[in-house]
Amino acid sequence: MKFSLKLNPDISFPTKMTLWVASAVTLVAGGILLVAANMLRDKFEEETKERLEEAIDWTTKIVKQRMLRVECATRTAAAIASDYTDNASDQQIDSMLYRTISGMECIDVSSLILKNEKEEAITHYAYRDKSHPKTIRNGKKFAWKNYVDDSNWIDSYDRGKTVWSDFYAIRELSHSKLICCSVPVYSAKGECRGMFCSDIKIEWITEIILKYKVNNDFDVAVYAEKECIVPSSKQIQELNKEDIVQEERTIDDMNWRLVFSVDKHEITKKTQRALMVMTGIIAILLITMIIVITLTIKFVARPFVRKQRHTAEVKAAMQRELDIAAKTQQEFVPHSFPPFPDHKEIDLHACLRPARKVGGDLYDYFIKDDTLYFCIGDVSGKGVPASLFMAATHYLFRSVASSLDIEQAVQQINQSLCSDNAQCTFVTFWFGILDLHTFTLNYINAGHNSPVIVHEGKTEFMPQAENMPLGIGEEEEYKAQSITLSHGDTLLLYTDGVTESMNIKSEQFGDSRLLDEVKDMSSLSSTDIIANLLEKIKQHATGREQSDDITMLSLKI
Amino acid sequence: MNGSLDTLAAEQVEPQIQELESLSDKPLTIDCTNLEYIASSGLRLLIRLKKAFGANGYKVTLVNVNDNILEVLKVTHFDRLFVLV
Repeated sequence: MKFSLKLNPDISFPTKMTLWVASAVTLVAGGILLVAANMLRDKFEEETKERLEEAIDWTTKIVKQRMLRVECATRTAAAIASDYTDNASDQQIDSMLYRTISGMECIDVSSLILKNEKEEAITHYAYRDKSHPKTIRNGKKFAWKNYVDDSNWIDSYDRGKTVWSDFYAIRELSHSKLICCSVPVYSAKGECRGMFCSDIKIEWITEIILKYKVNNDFDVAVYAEKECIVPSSKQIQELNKEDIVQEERTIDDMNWRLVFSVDKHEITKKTQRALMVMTGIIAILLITMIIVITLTIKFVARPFVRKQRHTAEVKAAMQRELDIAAKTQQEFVPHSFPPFPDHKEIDLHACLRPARKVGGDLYDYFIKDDTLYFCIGDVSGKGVPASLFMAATHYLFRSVASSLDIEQAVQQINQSLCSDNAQCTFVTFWFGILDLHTFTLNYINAGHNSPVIVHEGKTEFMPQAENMPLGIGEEEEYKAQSITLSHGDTLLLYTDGVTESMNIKSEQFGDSRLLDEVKDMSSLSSTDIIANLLEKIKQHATGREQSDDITMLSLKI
Repeated sequence: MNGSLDTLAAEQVEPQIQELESLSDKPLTIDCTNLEYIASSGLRLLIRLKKAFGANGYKVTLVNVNDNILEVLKVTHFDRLFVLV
C-alpha cells in the first residue's frame, strides 16, 4: 500500500503547525509507550515473583506452626500415657484419649498403641463423630510385629522419634485422608512400650494453602511423596515451564512439596491493561492540547495578528498620507531658486526643514509691481495640526498681501485666523514689503523673532514694535515699522528652530551665536549663507533629534 | 507647573487644561517656579486659559516666571495678557 500524507495547501499555517505538532507528539508518545511496555512487563514479573516468594514462605511457616501444635499436644499426651503403661484401667485410658481429642479440634483420631508381654499390640481409639469426641476402647489385639511393620511407626518406636506419616485413610473412623503424628511412649523404667498417635485431616493443612488460591491470582499445588494432594489447575498444567513464574518449598517432616505458580499471560494482560490506561491518558492529554492550541490560535493569536496587520496597514496608509502632505507643503512654499532671475538687484534664498514630516513654519514671497512681498511665520506646535494652520496663514497672506495696506493686511489675516480658533493656535509672523526702486522696507513683526540685519556695517536684530502673534485677539492692532536699505545690506529671517536648536548638552544655538555667524557670512550670497548656517546648526545639534522646524529666509540687496 | 512644557508635554496635559477651563469662575494663579522651558504649544495653552478666564472677567496670574520664559513672553508680547508677579 502506498502511504502518502498530503496536507491541503489551503490549510492555514497555524493549523498545519498544530497537525505537525500533534503527529510528532503522537509518534513520541508511541515510542514512550513501547519502552514503557517492556519496562512495565519486567517490573510486573519481578513484583509477581516477590509476591509468590512472600506467599509461599508465609504459607510454609503457618503449616509448620500447625504441625508443631499437633506435635506438642501429642508429646504431652504421650508423656501422660507413660504413667499408664503398666497398670492403667481402661477408663483412665479412655479419659485421657477423650481429653486429648477434645483439647484440639484438629485432631480427628487419638490412639494409644501399647505392646504387652505377649508381643501383642493393644489399641485404644478416640475419634470425632460429627465433631463430638467419642471413645472406642476396643482393646483389639494384633500381633505387634504386623502392626509396626509400617515403616513410619517403626521409626517412631525403634528410634524414639516423633514421626509424621504419609497420608492414609481409616474408613471406619473418618471420610477424609489423614496424616498421623506418632510419639513413642516410655514406661517408668525408660523402656519403650508403644506409641501415641494423633491423626489429623489433611484439609486442616491444605486449607491454609488453598486460602491463597482464593485471595490471589496464584495457582497452588501440593505434592506428597507418593501422590498429588492438591493438583494444579488444568490451565497451568497445560503450559510450558517458560510460560510460568513458579516458586517451590518442601515441608521437611512430611516430605510435602508446595508449588505456587502464576501464568505469565496474566502478567501480559496486566501490562496491557496498564498500557491501555496510559494510552488513554496520553490520548486525552493530546486531544486537550490540540483543543487548547486551536482555541488559542483562533481566539488569541489570530485576532492579535490580524489586529497587528491592520494596525500596520493603517500606519503605512497614514505614513503615505503624511509623505504626500509633506511633499505638498514643501511644494506650496516657493522653492525654485534663484526665484527672480529678472531682478538682479535682489538675492533671495530660503529653506524649510520640518522637525516632523510636516511642520508649522512657513515662508513666502512674491513680486508684484516691482515690490517684493515676503514673510516668515511660525505656528505654535508641530506636526499636522500646526501644518493646517500654516496652510491657512499662507493662503491668507497670498490673498491679501498685495491688495491692502500692510497694517490692514496683517489685521485682516489676524481676524481670519482668530475666528473659530478654539485651540488658541497662534502664529508668530513677520511680513515685509520692499520697494525695489527705493529699497524702503515696510514691515510688521507680529510676535516673531527679530530678523538679523546687516546694515551700515552693523549686524544686529531689527528693532521691533510691540505686536502680538496672529490668532490671539481679533481686536489686536499691528504697528508697522520701516527702514531704508542700501546696497550690500543683508536681511536674515528665521524661526526659533534656528536659535533654540539644542546640542547634546541641551545648550541652545542662541541669539548671539546667530549674530556672530551672520556677521562672518555677510559677504556671501544668500544661498551660501543659508547653506552655511544649516551646516553650523547641524554640527551644533549632532547626536540630537531635530526638535523644532527650522526655517530661514535670506535677502541681500 | 514643573519642568519643560514642550510640544509633547502640551499634548499630554490637554485633559488637565480642559478641567481647568471648566473652573473658570474665579481668578487663576499659575506657579511657574519650576517651569524651566515653554514651547509655543505651551504658550498656546496659556492663551487658552487666559481666554477662558478672561471671558468671565477673571485674570490669569503667573507667579515666579524665570528669565527665559519672561523673555519668550516679551518677544511674543504675551506679557500683556497675563499678570506677572
